Amino acid sequence: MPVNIEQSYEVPPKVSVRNERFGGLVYRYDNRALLFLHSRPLVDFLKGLDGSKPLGTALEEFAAGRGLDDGQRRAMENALGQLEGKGIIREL
Amino acid sequence: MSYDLLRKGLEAPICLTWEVTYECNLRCAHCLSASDHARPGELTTEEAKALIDQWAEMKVFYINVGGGEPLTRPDFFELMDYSLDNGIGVKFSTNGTLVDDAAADWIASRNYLDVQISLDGATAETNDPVRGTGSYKRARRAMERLAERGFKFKINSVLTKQNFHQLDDLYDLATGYGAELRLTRLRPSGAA
Repeated sequence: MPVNIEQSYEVPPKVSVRNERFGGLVYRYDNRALLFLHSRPLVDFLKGLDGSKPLGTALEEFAAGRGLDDGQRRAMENALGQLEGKGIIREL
Repeated sequence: MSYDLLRKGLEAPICLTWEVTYECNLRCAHCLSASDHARPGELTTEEAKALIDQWAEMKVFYINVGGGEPLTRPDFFELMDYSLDNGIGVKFSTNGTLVDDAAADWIASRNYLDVQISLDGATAETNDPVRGTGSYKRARRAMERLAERGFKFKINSVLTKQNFHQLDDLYDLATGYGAELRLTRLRPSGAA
């Protein structure tokens, strides 16, 4: 499922994200799902995702700040869609 | 590249096993930790909280708490709440004997808490020779208290020659409470 870039998203309280050398780990307390994320930018983006702005805006600002190109930004958008399916982010 | 990074290991454990005390009110024949009484030098409440602080900082996701019987620690709920409040999930093992109404209320009201109750037979005749006289009845009472509160717990059974023939009954007993049955192998350690 693609994410809705017009909407704000957040990482719900039942999810914890931490940095690792290879990127990061995501853990869901409620179903004990553990995910390995092999992208540090994606991990950093999740850690800053606070629902304060539409997802598309947040992604564009993040990409500009990190010097990511369009392809990299789209890859993150796709990854976020997968994470939404796993309950790691949710639409507000 | 990230596979090479993965081989270097994680920044911190995903989970930890914490035996919070050696104090126990049962003397199970196969006890993994040969628990009986609290040992000198067990952590004080403040020392335990300082450890939890470190784990929270490392972002350890959850802890497996056992003992001994964890509920014999007078500060058990305080420590577990401290852990949960600091973002560390808790899974603890108990023999169930000390799960009174107040303990059951506490358990049922917390998020990200898993509880497993040990039972080594589907009947007292099978369980009690291993875990002690009256332990079956008291564990069942704990299960009833949790089930009454709609809390989904797990039943942990160490598979032995003595209880093998009751596997189906144990499964039925668990599902009757909406509980999950977890089978563990006998580990030849401690008193076993």
